[in-house]
Amino acid sequence: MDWTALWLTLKLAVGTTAILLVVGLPLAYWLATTRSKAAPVVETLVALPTVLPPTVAGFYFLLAAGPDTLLGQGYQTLTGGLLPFTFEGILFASVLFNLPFAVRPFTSAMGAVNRTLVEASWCLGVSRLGTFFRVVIPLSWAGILTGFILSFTHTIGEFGVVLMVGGNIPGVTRTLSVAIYDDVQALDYDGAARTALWLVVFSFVALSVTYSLGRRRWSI
Amino acid sequence: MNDGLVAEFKKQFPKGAEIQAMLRQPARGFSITVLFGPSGGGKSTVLRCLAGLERPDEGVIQFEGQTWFDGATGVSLSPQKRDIGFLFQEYALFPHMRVEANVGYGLTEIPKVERRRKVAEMLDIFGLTGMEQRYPHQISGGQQQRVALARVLVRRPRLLLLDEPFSALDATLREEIRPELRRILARFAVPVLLVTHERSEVISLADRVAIVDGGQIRQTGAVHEVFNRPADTSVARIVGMETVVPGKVVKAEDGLVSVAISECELTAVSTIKVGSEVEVCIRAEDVILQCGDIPAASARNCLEARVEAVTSAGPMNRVSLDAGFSLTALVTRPACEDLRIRPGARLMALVKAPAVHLITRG
Repeated sequence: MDWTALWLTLKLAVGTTAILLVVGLPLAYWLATTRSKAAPVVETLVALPTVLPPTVAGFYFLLAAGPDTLLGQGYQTLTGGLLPFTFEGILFASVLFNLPFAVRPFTSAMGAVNRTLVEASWCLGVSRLGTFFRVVIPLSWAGILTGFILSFTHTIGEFGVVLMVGGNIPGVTRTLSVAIYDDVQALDYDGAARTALWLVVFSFVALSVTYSLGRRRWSI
Repeated sequence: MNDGLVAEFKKQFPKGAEIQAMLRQPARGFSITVLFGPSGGGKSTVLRCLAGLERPDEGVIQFEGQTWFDGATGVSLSPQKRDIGFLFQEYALFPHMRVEANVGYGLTEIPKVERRRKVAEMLDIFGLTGMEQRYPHQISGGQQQRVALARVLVRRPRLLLLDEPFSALDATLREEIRPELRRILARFAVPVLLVTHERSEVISLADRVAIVDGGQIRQTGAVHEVFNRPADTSVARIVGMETVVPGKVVKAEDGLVSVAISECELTAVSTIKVGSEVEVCIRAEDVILQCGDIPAASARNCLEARVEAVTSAGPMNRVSLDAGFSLTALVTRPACEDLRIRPGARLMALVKAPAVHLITRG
């Protein structure tokens, strides 16, 4: 078992999920409630990673984050570092690539919250933000937790995007799935099997929790 | 005008429906104005515009001198800043909160101890003590309504808006709750605007009524005035005047007029001039049916009529008559039996002159 890769993978998954909570919740609420004509375009962009091969997404991200691009230069000015082949790079790519796994369950859960409850809260003098935290979030917690678990689990198993953007640098960008690929390349099947089994068990537990949560709803 | 509500606005919906509201509620303190009319007439939209949940396209909404909406200047106060109470049709209780938390939901800006005291006081007023720890799905429909009202009134709103407050309750419960609701609301000295399509709710609850139909407020006034003196035929039909037939004033004397309808003549209390074309409106409850010869009666209008059809209308029967024109009467079932009222039967229909309402045509 490659403990460094495990630690790095967990760090990536926690970081990705945390950023997705901050970015994904407001984005999902906007998508769930807006009447804007731009909404289908934004929804498509968010959903794109579910149909694109990870290598394609990773390739474009690599091009977009290069030192000569606006994104690359902006990041360099802000932090002094580069995005490709760094942990920050794979974190950034992972957030974009996992966006649909968080935002779609968030959106469908928030969209299912009865609009009248939101309006009732406004009429009781509670601000839009207050209503979001006191009514919308508690009533869509099952969907939010589902998105949380799905994006966490998906990041744990992420391979294509990480390899394209981060390469295979031990302790920096070498995650568990890249480590398995490495073990197989080196014909270390026992090592690959141990790590793979760990991933299968983890994924099974996480998905079981997700599906059992999906069956819970508040009723009136 | 510094007190009461002044609302004059228009709202156009994308699919073509237009709502036009002209509403004034001068009263301070407790009074109930009912927005009454058929479903889909725009009553709820008017209420939602007043609450700030819908934005009118143009016009003005002011309350106690404060501008809530002004299409010309672009002012539009959010629902949070209007200080209103809004009771939704399905009550909109928060399903994840217990009764206590629901009632105290809008009281976040006061200390916890004070909040608990206020909530307990409201629960006491509404007879909900002991229900504090229950969730909305664990209490009855009537209790849900009271929790929703307590939640709204605990904030002491300046104006209370009730959207079909009884529609989610069964008929028996409605009858019980109505007088109780009026009594409780009176304690809070708050002006109330209530939306309903039930005539019985207007009669048992309202001080004033505004008739809403086809997206417009057709007539506003005291209940007895609007119900007895509808301004046009659409209002007449809405307030339950089932007989609306065209006629012509042929004689006027001492405040009484004679109106010719087909071959008949009816007497009405009116000052309309001779020669005027009118619509003659008669409430079905005001028509008395009688068999055989009539001894001297005070009713000015005694018409020979033939029964065309008898249909059930709740505890009453609706009798369609041909009295030279189509006339509808409402009579109890036992009366129907006693008088042997069935299609083809011949009898006398009596209508007092004040019960004949005339609306000038054109």
